[in-house]
Amino acid sequence: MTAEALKGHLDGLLLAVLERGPAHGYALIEALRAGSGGTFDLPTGTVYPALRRLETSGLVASTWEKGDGRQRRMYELTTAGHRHLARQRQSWRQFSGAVTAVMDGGEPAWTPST
Amino acid sequence: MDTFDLTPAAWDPRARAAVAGYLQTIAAGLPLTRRARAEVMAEIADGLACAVEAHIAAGATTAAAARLSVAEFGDPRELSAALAAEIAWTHARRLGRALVATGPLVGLAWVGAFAQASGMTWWSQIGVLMASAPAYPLVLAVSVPAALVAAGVVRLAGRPAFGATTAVNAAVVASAACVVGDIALVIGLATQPGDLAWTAALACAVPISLVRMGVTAAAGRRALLLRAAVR
Repeated sequence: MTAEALKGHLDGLLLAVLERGPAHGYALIEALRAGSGGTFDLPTGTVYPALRRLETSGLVASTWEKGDGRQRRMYELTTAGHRHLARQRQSWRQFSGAVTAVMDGGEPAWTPST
Repeated sequence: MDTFDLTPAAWDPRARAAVAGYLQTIAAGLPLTRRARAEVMAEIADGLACAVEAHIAAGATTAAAARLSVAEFGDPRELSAALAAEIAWTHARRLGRALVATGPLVGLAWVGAFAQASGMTWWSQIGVLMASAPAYPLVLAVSVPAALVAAGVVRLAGRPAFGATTAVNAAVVASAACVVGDIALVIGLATQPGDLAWTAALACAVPISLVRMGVTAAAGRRALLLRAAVR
């Protein structure tokens, strides 16, 4: 799946991965790849602007740690991030449920008049 | 421009060159202070090092792992532009908030200087101040709304009413208007002949305006450079 197809969903997906605990940028994109069975195979660099956007919005907070002899920026969800994720999750369930219902050819709620 | 040789010295020289070249291309597209750029580059270098280590663990040579990792990260110019866009928005918000916060303080310093020099109440001096620098009301009419838009405090349904591009443009306009306003105050008023009390009062207000002008001009220039870096 391309970055373009995921546009609008990447922020929510990153928040969902961060809900499991603090992580750095590369670990996040790897978790997305693994969690989607390889479907979300975005350019790794995509994650860094997205994380900056989430931090500016107050949804994640970052700290620097020393790891493997390198400086490592770790991200975690803020309280606002947890609330935002809960809203996004609910909205996605409604949306995906509705799309699935229509795509799978369920009983139409109305019939066109002839 | 600093070089970003953040790769482990033990790596194959070709691997180091591939990663360093990638980092250098990103750094070249980020018009940031040395410290801010180093912070961005340290994060991406750590990510690249993680990717290289993952490929080596999967059986690749160091040189191949570096090539694969760089390819996996994507076009460095696109990444640089995307980072610049996000950093520009953050910068615009900070600049807008700083102008909203410092504007009243600078105004108070000038009104206080007028009150001190004239021996009259400060509120009676607001009109005098406006009359003495005719460009100032126009500057306020431009800078205050622009700073509020840049700061992201203009909201609709709980979300900022304007996007990143508008916020960055607003920050540029607000900072330019503030610089013009400070110049108008300093030149228009500080050059007027006055007595010792007037000179003493101005000695407090003028440095405040000059400091604000210098800081705002630098921050406005940074916003312009970041805007240009967003392709």
